[in-house]
Amino acid sequence: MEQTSVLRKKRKYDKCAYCMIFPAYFVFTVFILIPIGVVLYYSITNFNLYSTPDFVGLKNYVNLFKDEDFLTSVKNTLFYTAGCLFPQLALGLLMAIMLYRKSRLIPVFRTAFYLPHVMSMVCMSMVWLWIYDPTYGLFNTILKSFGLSPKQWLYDPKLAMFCVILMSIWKSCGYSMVIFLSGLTSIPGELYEAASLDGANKIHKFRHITWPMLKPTTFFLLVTGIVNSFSVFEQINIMTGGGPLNKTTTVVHQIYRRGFLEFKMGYASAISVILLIFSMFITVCIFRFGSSGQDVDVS
Amino acid sequence: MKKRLICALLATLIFAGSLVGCADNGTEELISEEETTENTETTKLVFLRVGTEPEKKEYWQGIVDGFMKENPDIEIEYQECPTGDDFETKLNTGFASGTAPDVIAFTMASMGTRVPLGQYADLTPYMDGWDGQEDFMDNALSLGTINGKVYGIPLFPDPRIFIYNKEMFEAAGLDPNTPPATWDELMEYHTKFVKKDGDTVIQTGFAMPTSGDSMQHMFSIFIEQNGIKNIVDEDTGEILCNKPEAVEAAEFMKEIKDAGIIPWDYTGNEQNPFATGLAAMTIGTDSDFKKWNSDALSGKIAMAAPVANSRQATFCGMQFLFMSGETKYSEEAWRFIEYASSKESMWARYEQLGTTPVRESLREQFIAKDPEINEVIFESINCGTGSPKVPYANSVYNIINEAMEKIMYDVESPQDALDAAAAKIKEEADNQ
Amino acid sequence: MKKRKLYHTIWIISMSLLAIIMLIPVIMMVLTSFKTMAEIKSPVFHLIPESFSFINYADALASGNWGIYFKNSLMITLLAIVFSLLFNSIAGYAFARLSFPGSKTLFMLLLIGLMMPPQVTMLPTFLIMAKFPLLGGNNLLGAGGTGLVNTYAGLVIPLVSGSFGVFLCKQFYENFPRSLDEAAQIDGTNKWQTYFLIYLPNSKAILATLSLLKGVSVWNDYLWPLVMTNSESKKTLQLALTMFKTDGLIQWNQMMAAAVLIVLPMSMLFLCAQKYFVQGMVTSGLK
Repeated sequence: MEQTSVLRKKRKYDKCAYCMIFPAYFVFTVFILIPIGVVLYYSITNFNLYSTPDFVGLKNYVNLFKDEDFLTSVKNTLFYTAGCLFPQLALGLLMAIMLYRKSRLIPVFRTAFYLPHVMSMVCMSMVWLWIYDPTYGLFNTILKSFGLSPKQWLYDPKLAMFCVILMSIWKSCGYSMVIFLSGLTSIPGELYEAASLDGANKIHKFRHITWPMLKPTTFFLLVTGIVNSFSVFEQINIMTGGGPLNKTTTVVHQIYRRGFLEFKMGYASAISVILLIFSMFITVCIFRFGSSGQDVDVS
Repeated sequence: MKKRLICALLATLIFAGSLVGCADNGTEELISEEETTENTETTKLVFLRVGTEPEKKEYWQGIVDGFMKENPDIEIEYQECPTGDDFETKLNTGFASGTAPDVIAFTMASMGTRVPLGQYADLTPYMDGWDGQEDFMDNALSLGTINGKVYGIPLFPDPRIFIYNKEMFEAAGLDPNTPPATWDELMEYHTKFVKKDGDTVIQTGFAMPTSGDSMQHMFSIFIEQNGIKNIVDEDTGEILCNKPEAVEAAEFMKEIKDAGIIPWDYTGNEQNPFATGLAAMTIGTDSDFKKWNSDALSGKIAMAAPVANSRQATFCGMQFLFMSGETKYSEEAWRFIEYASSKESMWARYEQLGTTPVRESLREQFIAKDPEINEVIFESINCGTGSPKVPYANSVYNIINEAMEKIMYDVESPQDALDAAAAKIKEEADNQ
Repeated sequence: MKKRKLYHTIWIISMSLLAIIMLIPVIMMVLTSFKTMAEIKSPVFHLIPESFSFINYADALASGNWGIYFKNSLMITLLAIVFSLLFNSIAGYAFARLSFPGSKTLFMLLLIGLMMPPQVTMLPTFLIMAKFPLLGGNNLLGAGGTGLVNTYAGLVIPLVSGSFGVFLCKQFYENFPRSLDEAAQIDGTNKWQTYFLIYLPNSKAILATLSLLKGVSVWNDYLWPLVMTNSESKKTLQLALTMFKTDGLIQWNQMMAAAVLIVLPMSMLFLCAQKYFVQGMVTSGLK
């Protein structure tokens, strides 16, 4: 008892913490932080990848807000994030809970659910192109066999984004499942035993033990999920190239197009900075909002 | 405290040590190579080519080996990189960090942007006394020329050719030996082939993409057939994409679409319904033709001269050999380019890869190999126009692609969409 | 008891259904790897190939130095996993359990690493790599050589910083019972010992998760190896996959065959890693 009170009182700083974070932080600083600084600098110049950049002030940023394509891409990215994140988390959680038990079939199911995440995006995007194909694709074959009229899927401006979202959910819900599983393992079994003694049923246990205990995990998935969705690029580039009618162009797709295909690196950097600021803003909001329930202390 | 510090230091040291160890392996290789090269006083050139196909790699290995045998003082390091955006990225990082390759095999479309940046060297000074100056097809050489200066030596021509499915022509009661020659005929044939199941088109006449990164190629073909020189006039800088003839071409493309087509994305040329026998006509490259002819469509397809409205024209892409503007060994690089574009190397290219030769002296030999097909290919190269070689070319492609999508998806009328595109191109041109 | 059995049957059926739905694209991919190009290009889609011959696998493997590519990918992935596990978990522990001035700020700063898409920082990072002083023939100012370009080090280092890993470990360690620390405090162990003797042995689940996720992302990484390597001897598997892509035609059957083979090691890693997910670590660690 005495020991704990002493602990609480003195609040000594642990200097060795700096040594502990040093290796990770060093690599982070040199290979991520400095490059980000460089990008910040590019964003106020007219850098075109080769010639020495000239300072142009905030011109790139001003132009951004007049750029229709950019504004569309922001809208699309937000739509994608909203459409992708929650189903992915819910499905991941459901699968993790269903599979957090002992059975001989568990490895089979887990592998089945996780496999999409392991596959290379290039190959999988191609398979999904076949699935969505308007003439002989799987979806239209199914629709036809039910006597429904087939759809144009990726070529339909209204449906294209949904198609990309569906594919992304499929690809990443296994990833959520794995993280939820690792979160579940950190819940002490005693809690459930105690609850069982108190006569709690499964729903109670979930509400009062599993869910609160999974908060740090959910929080983690929420932050990384949002940030990842904001930078969605690969499947867009392969499956739709941003079309039709720019309905699926995303912020990073715009960055890539402007920077590497049109050589307007300064302008592309300005988009990246806006993306970064926006991501940071959202993350800070989640941290504020999430911190209220964060301190689940078991002891 | 000391102990902890030592622990942390040790961890970092181990990490750094092992990585430097790996790096050392890499550098050792480099250093040892450099040493050997210094001993025999050889120059090391880096050659980067676009694409990663094994058969082309084999061809290039042969060229590189042959060249090094003839020139023992030069060592060529062969590199390759996937085509498309990947290759752009690779070149960009290379030039930005000063590690660009000395000789580059890449597309004509890259010239507009990269020549003004000084990335490709002017080859005109080397061409005196070079046999290719007279022998190369005029149109091929002129495709690699900007403002009278030659920057690229033609390597792989990539003409867009009208291809049709004879079997489907017969099935529809059309003469398989008279492909459409005018727009009106094309339209008439097209509608004959369209079959629908409810609202979905299950068979179509002319296979035309409705979206994707190369819609501008299709647009170029049609405007050129209607008498327009190019999307932008390279010489005067005049924007031509919203001239009445160009708008008419876009309207015609829209009519084809409205009559019923199977949508596909030009970026994935793979999905062309012609390849699966769902379309009777399309425009493809000579390699597309050979590929389809060796596949399921073998013996059923034929090539035809370009369709014309006011004149016969088509788009001709081209891969060139470029010399980096930053190379330290320009003489040696030119020797390699000369070797790779010699008559012998070019004929080897035809024999190994089926590439159409672009030297007049090989014309007879080439046509004799397969008169029916090769003549069309050769002529298509001769009348083909390429992408506009202006500094803002890459923006032009995007703008036109976007406008074409708007037209195809009924968002804007051809006139409005192309006017808007012209205004955007103007803005880009003014920003230069 | 009967009710339990019923539940179990329902569970099996629903899970199987879900698994089949999830696996459809994967199955399509595997089946494609057995087809001929003519079958793939046929206008009528056939799910099942006409014959199951391994000719595509043989062709795919014959078309390149797959031994080298495999070795490279394996090296890079292993190095990245080992170092990122070590660095990230220890930093995660420090952020989760130790109090030091600036910890919040430093942590938030670290999260920026998650927010910048790699396409954006690629160019500056590449420049740093190419100009890295004293390595790869460079002098002290970073000129003269090629730096870390085309080396394993250049491929691996940017991957070990891992904002993601630190964040994941921090979140995981925050759920550890504080009583563990207090017990350690009483025993008089310092923080390093607490981490290495108590936290590390109890973090099998998180380390398995992290190595899996890191492994998958490094194994499937395409863009970074693309710009960092330029010789056959440093080519990775994902880069090698592009050799089935020609201008107009993609050899889908061979590409899928190669892709199936490439996926196998990661699937094995998952099978190995997943048994740690069920080991409730705190229960075993505390008793």
